[in-house]
Amino acid sequence: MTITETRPEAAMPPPPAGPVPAATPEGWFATADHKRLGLLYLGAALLFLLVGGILGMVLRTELLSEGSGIAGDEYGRLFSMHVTVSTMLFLAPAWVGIASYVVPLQIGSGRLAFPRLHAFSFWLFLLGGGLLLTSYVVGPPRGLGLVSSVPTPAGKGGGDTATSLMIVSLALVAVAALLAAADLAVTVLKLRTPGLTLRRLPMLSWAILTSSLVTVLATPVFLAGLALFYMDQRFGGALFAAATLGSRSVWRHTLWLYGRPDVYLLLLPGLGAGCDIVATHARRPLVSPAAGRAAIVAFAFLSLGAWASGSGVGDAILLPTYSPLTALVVLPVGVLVLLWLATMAAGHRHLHTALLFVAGFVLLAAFGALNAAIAAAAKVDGTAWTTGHLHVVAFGAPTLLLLAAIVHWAPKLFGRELAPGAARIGFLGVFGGFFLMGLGSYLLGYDGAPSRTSDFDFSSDASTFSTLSTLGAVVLLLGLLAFVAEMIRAARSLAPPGPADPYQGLTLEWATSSPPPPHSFDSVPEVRSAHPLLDLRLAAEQGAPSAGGER
Amino acid sequence: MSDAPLALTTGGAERPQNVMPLGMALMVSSGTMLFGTLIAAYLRLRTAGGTWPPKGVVFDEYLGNMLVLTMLLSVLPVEWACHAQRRNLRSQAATALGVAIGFGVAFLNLLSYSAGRTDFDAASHPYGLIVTALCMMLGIAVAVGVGMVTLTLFRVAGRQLTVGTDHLRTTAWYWHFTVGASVAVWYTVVVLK
Repeated sequence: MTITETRPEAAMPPPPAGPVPAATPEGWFATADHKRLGLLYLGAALLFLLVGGILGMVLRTELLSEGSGIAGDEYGRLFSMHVTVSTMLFLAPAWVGIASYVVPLQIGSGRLAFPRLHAFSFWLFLLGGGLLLTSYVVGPPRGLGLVSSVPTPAGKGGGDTATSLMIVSLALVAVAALLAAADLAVTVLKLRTPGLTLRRLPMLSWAILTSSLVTVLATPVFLAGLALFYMDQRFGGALFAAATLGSRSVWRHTLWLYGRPDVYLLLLPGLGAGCDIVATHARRPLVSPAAGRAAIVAFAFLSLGAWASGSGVGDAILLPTYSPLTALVVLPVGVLVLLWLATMAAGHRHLHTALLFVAGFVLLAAFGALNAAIAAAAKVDGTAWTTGHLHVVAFGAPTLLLLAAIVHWAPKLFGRELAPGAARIGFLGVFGGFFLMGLGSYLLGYDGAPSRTSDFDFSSDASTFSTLSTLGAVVLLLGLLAFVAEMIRAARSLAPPGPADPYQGLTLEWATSSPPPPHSFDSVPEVRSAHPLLDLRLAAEQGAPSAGGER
Repeated sequence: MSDAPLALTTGGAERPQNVMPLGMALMVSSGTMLFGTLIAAYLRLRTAGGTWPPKGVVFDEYLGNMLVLTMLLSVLPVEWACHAQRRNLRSQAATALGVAIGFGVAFLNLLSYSAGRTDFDAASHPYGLIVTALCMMLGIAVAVGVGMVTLTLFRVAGRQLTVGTDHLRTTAWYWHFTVGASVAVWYTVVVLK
């Protein structure tokens, strides 16, 4: 008895001929195309950002006056929901969206390794995100969620629906992230076009590979913690009761071992994107790409190692500290910024809007680092300083890099560039908003105002600082709205699509049309260096017939 | 600025890539971290002080040993299936996979029976909760494994797998992971206590 069939992987479908099929709602629902999945991820993430932003505005409004409606645990829960939505439902999935769209193009594959699994991960993420918001509507959940290092024991008679729903929704989002990360890692490792070795990988793809591998290792730790948390809530085994010895450290470690790298992973893809953006607009390869790759790997390694930096692992999941081990992450970021500056100095001088966002990231990160240095000498534990640092370093700086990536790859994502004027207004709003919010919260912290509380001494300078922070939030929201409105305009524009390669790009995503066809590439390109399009242009200038050699 | 895509030299037909083994390796890595965390949590609680296991808890070691023995024995038919596939012996591969499914179902049945026989559950105390969590995760992992082996059996029966494909070997990796996880859980709960 023999088995004679061709191995299914060898049967690659030919690119579809004829006109591009119209985008129907059914088509979007059942799609496994990496480009559509990328846009779906990005769109959903922006929707959740809107929710997170509204929650943030409610919190800031509460801090404007004394003794208004939201106080105590209610304020804490809202704060927790704001943090959870803004990080787990916005930044991380938005990067998955960018990666899903751009990485298969950058590696010349034009498809994902497990497209159906990727589609499943998106719908799982959407379901999880929806359930997380629902949990607050039907609840609200007990405890302070992810921002608390103290686990929430089950109440009398077992857990309530809202808390159980919150835990399940977080598990769904985490599983979705795990599946998407695994798919992206396999895509980069196995589907690269011939000649595109790991050393020649574009920096965004390298950063996505690195962050995906860390996600694959760290997320199950979080899932195990959530499983215990859920069972404790559901069955009431008193695992997280205050009297149970060792249980708090179990929760802190599971939360921390996921939360620490997760905070860093919100920035890691952005660092890779920053490298590609700078190199593209400088119209030359990054100065020392090997150093860039090493810095990205070091950043990922430190993100896992930073688990040990928490004082007794007693801090909350999203609380950046300034311990020596954490401070080490400044080094790889510093190396990358120096590489960017050197590349810009050696290359074409042209301030594209995407570079403006990258510059904004550098300034905001420097602002955060400066305040971290000040905080090392001042006592700011448990003060509003932490809120400011979260907004500046853990959320603001990565968001600027995300928006830089959207501006940079807009020709591929939407078929045309974003209007520079609108994008720059968005930049001013986002950068200025984060800066003012951070400044207000830092000053509040130095003034001794506590963190995560709805009321403080309004007779002091704190009131002025709080108003400054609220002003920043308003500016930020307006900036984001302007940016998203421009994205929608570009996506829905009826004008003819823009050029395939508006920047004289270096990497393969610029070798296909804008937006790419459903099959991404008309032919699978062969690569002989890290920047095949530059080689091709140089060869054309010199009259050579094909791409250049090794660099 | 160029309006048309650059005319790149083409690499010809897309190279066939079997992505399953790497995907499975990542899945197994994730699973290892999951069970590692649960076992670490068990050990942390065990060493935190107090009586462990709680007074009055009697864990049926016989059932625990039988559970791990069932999983260890299931390695043989899975490896037999891989061996048969390498030699293009479809009926042998199908038979071996059927036997492996039998072992998996037997494990799940015995696990369910054991849960009914113990004098504690997840609501009893922290020990009960973490042991239940470990057993539940193990049950889910083995159930997924049974599903994967069943799917592979259908593919073998439907002549969809060739000698060169890694599908069966990849399924075997996952199965061996579940065996490793069951040994780790057994050692933690039954041997170390």
